[in-house]
Amino acid sequence: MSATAAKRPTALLATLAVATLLVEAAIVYIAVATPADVNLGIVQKIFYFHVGTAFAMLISLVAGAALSGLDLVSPSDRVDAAARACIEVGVVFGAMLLVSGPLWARKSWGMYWTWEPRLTLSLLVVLLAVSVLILRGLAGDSATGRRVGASLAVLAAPASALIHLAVKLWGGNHPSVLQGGGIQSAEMRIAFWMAVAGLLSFAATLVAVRFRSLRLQQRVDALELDLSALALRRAAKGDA
Amino acid sequence: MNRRLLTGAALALAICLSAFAAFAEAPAAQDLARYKEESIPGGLLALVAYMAMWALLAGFVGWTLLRQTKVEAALQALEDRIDGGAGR
Repeated sequence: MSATAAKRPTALLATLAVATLLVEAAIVYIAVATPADVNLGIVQKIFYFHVGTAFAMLISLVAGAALSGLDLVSPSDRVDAAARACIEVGVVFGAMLLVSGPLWARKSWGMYWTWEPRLTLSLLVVLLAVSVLILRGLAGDSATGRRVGASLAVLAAPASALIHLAVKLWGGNHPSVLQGGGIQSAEMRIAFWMAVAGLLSFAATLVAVRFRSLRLQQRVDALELDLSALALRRAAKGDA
Repeated sequence: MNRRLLTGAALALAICLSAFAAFAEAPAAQDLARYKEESIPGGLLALVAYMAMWALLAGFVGWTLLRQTKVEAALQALEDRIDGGAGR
């Protein structure tokens, strides 16, 4: 058996399975046990996962921003890989948020999108994270690209905090869920926290999986560099 | 490398600047009334939302597995190169 095959991430796969089960349990509970909203009807069931994806996006992007800041202060491949993993997962959950929100809004507000503060800031933060990933993808291993990407990623932290505070600061149509909006019964509360727990555990597992993959890529790159240097030294010795 | 870095920076800037669409006008009152009159079943919207969310998540998991397979293949190729070098 090769060394690669021997190092299968069993623990990670088990965590991914548990996270998937948590999410599936939440879906079943939402479908079977939660009542339809008195005002919005069945479309309100989007809300359970919409809010969970928002939490996962905000936590991932704030963690990515903090790690990027740390990487700017004291550069480390490990921290860089963790920051990239967080930002990638943040973008995925951001995309889920931006898809599910407008579908809920279509029924609730009568339109898919409106340029109100929380929505606009959410879009801005996701675009910022996408731009960091594009920049890093195109810049490769360049130290400048890494620093510019990290500087851009740091901006996601204050922007994410503003998303959370947007309704309080500037108003707008968006309901503020944690202040009581949207949850009308005990079943709804249970379903909400089940969905949040499932999605957060899924996000954490995905960050761990991507971190492992990025670290492996960094090691492969470093080994390739070492091998090339060794081949050059051998060739130079041969010439001498 | 600098050219790729500049392209990346330009793309990143363009994406960030696209947020200025936020200054676009709000929909006119008659458009809003028309939207509200159209009735899209809530169940359909919920179903589309759930399907889209899981498709995105499954897509990311699939892409991650693909990347992982590529890295493992690169690692295997490196192992072979090292074994080949040691044999000589």
